[in-house]
Amino acid sequence: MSEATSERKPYTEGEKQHIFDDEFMPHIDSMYNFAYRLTFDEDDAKDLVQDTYMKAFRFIDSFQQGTNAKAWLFRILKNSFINEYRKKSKQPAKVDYQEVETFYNSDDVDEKITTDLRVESLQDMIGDEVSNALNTLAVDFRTVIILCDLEGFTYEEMAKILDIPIGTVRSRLHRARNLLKEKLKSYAESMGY
Amino acid sequence: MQPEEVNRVHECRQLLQLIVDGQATPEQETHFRQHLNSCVKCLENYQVDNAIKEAIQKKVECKCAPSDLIKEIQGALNNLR
Repeated sequence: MSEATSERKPYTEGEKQHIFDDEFMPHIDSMYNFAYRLTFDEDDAKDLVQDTYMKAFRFIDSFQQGTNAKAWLFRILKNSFINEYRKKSKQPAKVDYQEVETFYNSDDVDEKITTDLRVESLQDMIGDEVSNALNTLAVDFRTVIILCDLEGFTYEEMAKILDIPIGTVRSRLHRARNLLKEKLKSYAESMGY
Repeated sequence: MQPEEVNRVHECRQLLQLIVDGQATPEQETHFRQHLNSCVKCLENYQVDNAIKEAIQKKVECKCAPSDLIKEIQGALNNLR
């Protein structure tokens, strides 16, 4: 929320309302979906979204009208989640990246996981199975899949939302998908594939 | 695997991610499509990765914001002013 505002006059009350209603509010479903998939709790998700919109209004002068409001809002929501909700969340602690990296960042592992998974088994899965697999991922891995696959953000937008380099976005996404493949593979095996 | 083969597999893996996520350049896309004609392994990986992305997009239910949330936000906004 630190974009340059020095060359622009602060917004009038009318402009603020217009930006809020026309550029921020249309993203409320995506925001709530993201918040719910982070917290797994409807009340926490509502609080997180409301808190995000209040902050967005408070800092509205640092938003450049007509730019990417969705990415701007997602960044605020992600920061609020880390600072305020993650502490009380029922989620497991932050991922031990070192451990995961050692295993999941090798081409041999890629090869093995993908070989055992079949397109037909993925197509036959029901929504619950895919959702459950996604929900069991640690929050940092779940987040990159949600941002990329559900919300359609580019790597560049994800880097800004998450405050990490694009290279880290790509490697985290890659590892997240390998973890997801393993979960889906277990489901596929239980279905007899 | 020979070092040359390892490099090729690694390059394909990176390219595959860009393609599946729609973030490859037209040149990378052309290069990869040509490569798929001669590499069954990459074709399989491509199909599986695409199927996973599609499963997430089509099968994971979107939790829409509850109707009262918008009213609550508007109310909180009025109090903030």
